[in-house]
Amino acid sequence: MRLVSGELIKLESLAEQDTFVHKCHPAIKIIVTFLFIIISVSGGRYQLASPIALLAYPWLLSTLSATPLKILHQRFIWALPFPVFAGIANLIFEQAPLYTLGGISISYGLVSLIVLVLKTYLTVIAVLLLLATTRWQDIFAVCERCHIPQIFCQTLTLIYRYLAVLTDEAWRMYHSYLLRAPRKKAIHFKDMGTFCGQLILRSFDRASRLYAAMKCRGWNSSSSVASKQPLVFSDLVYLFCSLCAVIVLTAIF
Amino acid sequence: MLKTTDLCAGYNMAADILHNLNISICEGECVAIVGKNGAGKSSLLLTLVGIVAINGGNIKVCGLDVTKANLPEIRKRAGLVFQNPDDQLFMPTVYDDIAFGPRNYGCSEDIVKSTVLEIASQFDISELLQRNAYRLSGGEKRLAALAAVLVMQPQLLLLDEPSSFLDPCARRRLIDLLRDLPQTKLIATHDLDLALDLCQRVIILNQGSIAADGNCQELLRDQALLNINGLELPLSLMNYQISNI
Repeated sequence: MRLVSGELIKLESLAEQDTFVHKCHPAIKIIVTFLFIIISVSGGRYQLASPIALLAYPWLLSTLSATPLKILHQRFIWALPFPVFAGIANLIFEQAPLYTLGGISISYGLVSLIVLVLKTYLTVIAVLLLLATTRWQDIFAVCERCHIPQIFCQTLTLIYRYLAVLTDEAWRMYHSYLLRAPRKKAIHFKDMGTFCGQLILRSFDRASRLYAAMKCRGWNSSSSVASKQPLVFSDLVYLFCSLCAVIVLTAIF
Repeated sequence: MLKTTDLCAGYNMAADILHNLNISICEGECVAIVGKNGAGKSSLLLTLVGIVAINGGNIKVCGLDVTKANLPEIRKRAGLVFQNPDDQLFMPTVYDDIAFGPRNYGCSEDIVKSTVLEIASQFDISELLQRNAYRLSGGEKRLAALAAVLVMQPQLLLLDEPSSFLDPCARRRLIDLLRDLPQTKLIATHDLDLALDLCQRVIILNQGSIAADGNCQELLRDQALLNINGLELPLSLMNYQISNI
C-alpha cells in the first residue's frame, strides 16, 4: 500500500527536474507521446524491426530528461503479464517458421509474442516518460484547454491526489493491525470487512479535511492550479525533431 | 475584526456543537481558545471560515457576514492553519503548496513566485521548496502549512493546535515566529503554556459554550476554574507554585 503512494511520489519528484525536456510545453509532450504510441502500435504483428528501432526513442528521451530507465522498467514489470498472456497462445497456434537463425527456426507465434511485448513496452514507457517529465496538474490543465469538460479534469485531479491519501490511511491501519496481531502476516479474512469499512470511513474523513483546507485557500470547482506556460519556439523545435526522429526510425526499419 | 452574535453551529441542523457564542475580537489581539477535547474549539474555527454550517446567530469576519456569497473573500482575509499539516499539504512540492492559494486567487506567476520566495525566506524554509511535503519532518510541515496560509496575507490568522506534532525546539521557534506576526490571531489549543506565552486574552469553552473570557494570566492561574472545565494549570505555573512551596 505504501508502495503505491511511494511510486506516485517518486514519479512526481522526477517531474520536478529542470532539464530541457521538463521545460517543454506539456501540450507538446502530450502530442509527441500520443503520436509515438500510435506509430508504435500501428506496425504489423510480425514486423519486428520497427518496434526494435523505436526503442531508441525512450532511451534518448530518458537520457535527455535525466530520468533513470531502471525506475520506469520497475513499473513496466507490472504491465508485462498482460501482453505475455495475450500472446502466449500464438506460440501454440502459429508454429510455422518465419526466420531461421543459426539453424534454429523462429516461429510466427514467437515473433508475434515478441512484437506484442515490445509494443506494450513502448506504449507503457512512453506514458511513464510523460509522467516523469510533466507535472500531473499541467497534464490536466492541457486537457482542460483541449475542451475536455472541466468536471472530468477536476475529478481526475482530485482522484489522483486522493489515491495518495487512501494508500497513506491504508498503510497506517495495516501496520497498526499487524503490531497488535504479531502472529499474522497479513490482515485475516474475518477482519477484512471491518478493515475495508473503516478504511473507507477514515479516508473519507481525511479527504473531507483536505478538501476543506483547499477551500480555505480559495479553491473552487473552476480553479486551475496549473501554471499557464506559453508556447515558445523551442517547443516547436522539440515537436518537429521528435516526430522526424520517430518517422525516420520507422521508415528505415 | 471578528464578532459572533448568538452563534449556534453544528455539522447538521439537528445537533449544535456551539451554543449561543458571543465573541468579539479587536484588530491586533491575540486570543487563545482553550477547552477539553470535544469542547468545540476546532469547530468554532471551521465555522468562522464557513466550513461548519451556522444554525443560528451570525458571524462577522473582517467586516463581512459569513454567508455563501462572501466566503471567497472571507477565506482570503482569514487564514486557517489546520491541526494536522498532512490535511493541509497536498501538492507535489512545498513550493506548489505555498503557491496554491495565490494561484487560486488569480495572481500572475511572477507575483506568485516572488511572494512564495519571500515567505519561504521569512520562515527559513527556502531549501524545502522543491521537496515533497510527505517527506518533511513535523516541524517543517508545520512551517510549510503556516507559510501556505500567510502567503495570502490574511488579516486574521486562525490556528488549530499549532504546537501539536512539534518537539520543544520547533515549538519554541513557532512561538517566536507567531509572536512577530502582526495579524490578529485566534489560537485553539490545549497547550496552555503556549497560550500564556502568546496571548493576552483567553476564552475557555466547555461543551460548546463560553465558560470564561478574560485576561490570560488571570484565568489560567485559576485552578478551580480550569478543573471545572477539564483543564489543568499550565506547566510553567505549576513549576512556579512548586518552587514557591
